[in-house]
Amino acid sequence: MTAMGLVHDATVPVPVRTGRSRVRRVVGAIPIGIFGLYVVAAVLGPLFVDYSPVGGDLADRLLAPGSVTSDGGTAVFGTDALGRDLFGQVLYGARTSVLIGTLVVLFSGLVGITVGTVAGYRGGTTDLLASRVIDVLLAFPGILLAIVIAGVFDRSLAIVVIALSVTNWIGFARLSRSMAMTLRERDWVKSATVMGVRRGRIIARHILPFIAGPTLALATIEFAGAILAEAALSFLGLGLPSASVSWGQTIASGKEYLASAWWIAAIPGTALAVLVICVGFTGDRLTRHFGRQQ
Amino acid sequence: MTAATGLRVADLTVTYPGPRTSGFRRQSSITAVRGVSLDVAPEETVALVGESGSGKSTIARAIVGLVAPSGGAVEFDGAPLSNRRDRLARRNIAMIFQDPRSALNPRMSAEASIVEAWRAHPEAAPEGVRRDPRRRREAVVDLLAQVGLDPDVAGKRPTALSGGQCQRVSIARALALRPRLLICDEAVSALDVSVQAQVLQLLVRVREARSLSMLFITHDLGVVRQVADRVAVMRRGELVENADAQTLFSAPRHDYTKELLAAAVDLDVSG
Repeated sequence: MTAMGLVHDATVPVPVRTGRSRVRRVVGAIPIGIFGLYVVAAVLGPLFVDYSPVGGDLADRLLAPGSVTSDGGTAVFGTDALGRDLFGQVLYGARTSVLIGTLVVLFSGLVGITVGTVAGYRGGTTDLLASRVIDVLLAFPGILLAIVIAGVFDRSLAIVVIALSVTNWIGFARLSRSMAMTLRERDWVKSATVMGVRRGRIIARHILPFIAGPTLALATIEFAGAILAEAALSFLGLGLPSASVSWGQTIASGKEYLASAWWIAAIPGTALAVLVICVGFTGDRLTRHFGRQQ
Repeated sequence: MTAATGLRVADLTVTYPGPRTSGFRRQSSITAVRGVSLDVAPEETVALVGESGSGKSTIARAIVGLVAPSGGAVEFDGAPLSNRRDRLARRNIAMIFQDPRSALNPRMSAEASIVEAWRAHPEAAPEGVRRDPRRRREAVVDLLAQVGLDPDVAGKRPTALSGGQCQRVSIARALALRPRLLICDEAVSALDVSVQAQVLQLLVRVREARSLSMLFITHDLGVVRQVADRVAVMRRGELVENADAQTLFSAPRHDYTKELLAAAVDLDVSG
């Protein structure tokens, strides 16, 4: 029994708490914390800060960050060319970004996981068909396809979500397809098949739970991608209707004032970059976490 | 009702498609089993032996419908098992896999794994199991007791169980649907030697208690000697000898069988 005990010890990693690893853990948690702050700001911020995209006082135009506006308030992030408060734009823009990112990830994740899992589990012609569609779509640059779709239709939230999901689901489909293909060969799936468990139930109980973790890791990365792509569309004037607030639109409106009023483009740009970087780090961490589990 | 004729495998051929080289082209296919005919009478235990790659497991997979045969027929008590959707006929056949751990879903408790069988075949489930959780637990504990496991195993996941315990849970799950034929695909070869003997004894005991037929796939001739009434020897996808266990061990006819026996005897002496 001692031999078995040794083998057992070797397979279970014993966490060693050194000073360095604690520092690393704290540093590693920072991006997740910042990401969390963005989400909180996006959800709660608009409840406390009033901002209207049609408001703004022309007397307050192009104020530098920290200036006092004509109504006595402080414009922490300054104002834009129409006198609109940038802090409000960043906050409302965060809400737009988080909303669009979430919708795109939910929508494309649902489609991608369904297609990928069914293709990987069933194999044969179903898989061949799905793989070809994926290959063809992979050949298109995603943002170009989104621009075409968003350009053809009227500007609306639904069109932006669809335009970004058209290529975004492929990542989910490829991941879940390859995982379903390996899981299908596992004995517990085979024994369920032999017992006569129905296909839908096998997928739900024996395959999907094992795909969930890595998919969550991928979802964060796709979330960052979707936010970036939405900003790009809005920058090009193809995103949301101009009555809504989006970082892309704000950056675009600051384009002509880069030399005189840098903050209009720089502040939402920084907000966007920091969010995407932090989501990326969070995704990497999740990927590593689920990779270790496998 | 049809007569209880047991399992009949007639002229079975299984061909695996070759790997895809490009989108639509495939490499030439591999014939894993070629024209094998094999019967397992009620309450009979047939051992299927042969080296790895000889097609033993493929026969088992074709019988339970995991691979589609490209030729021949499989029948149980006169009912053909040709269609993958012959769920009712297939209920009579249960299978035990080689790797005790991966045969159970690592995220499901032993109880959930067993209950799943009843959910797939409500007509074979003990009364009241579907609706009454307490009755369900009782039925699971009763099954676990039959394979020599404590009631507390019911709530545990495979990761919390030993290999032998996992294999016992697999056996309990196989018995849940009251099958008539048990296919054991190398069911003890992944276990520790001491556990091997216990699980083997359990299988023999279960076979006697439930009057099961058994198709015992193994490459271990020592195991065969302990359990089999009849032995079928496979080589390169074909059946080379099919004889009474005693006859085969005392007077093997085919050269390959002699080789196999000689190899096993060598091992016995050295061990």
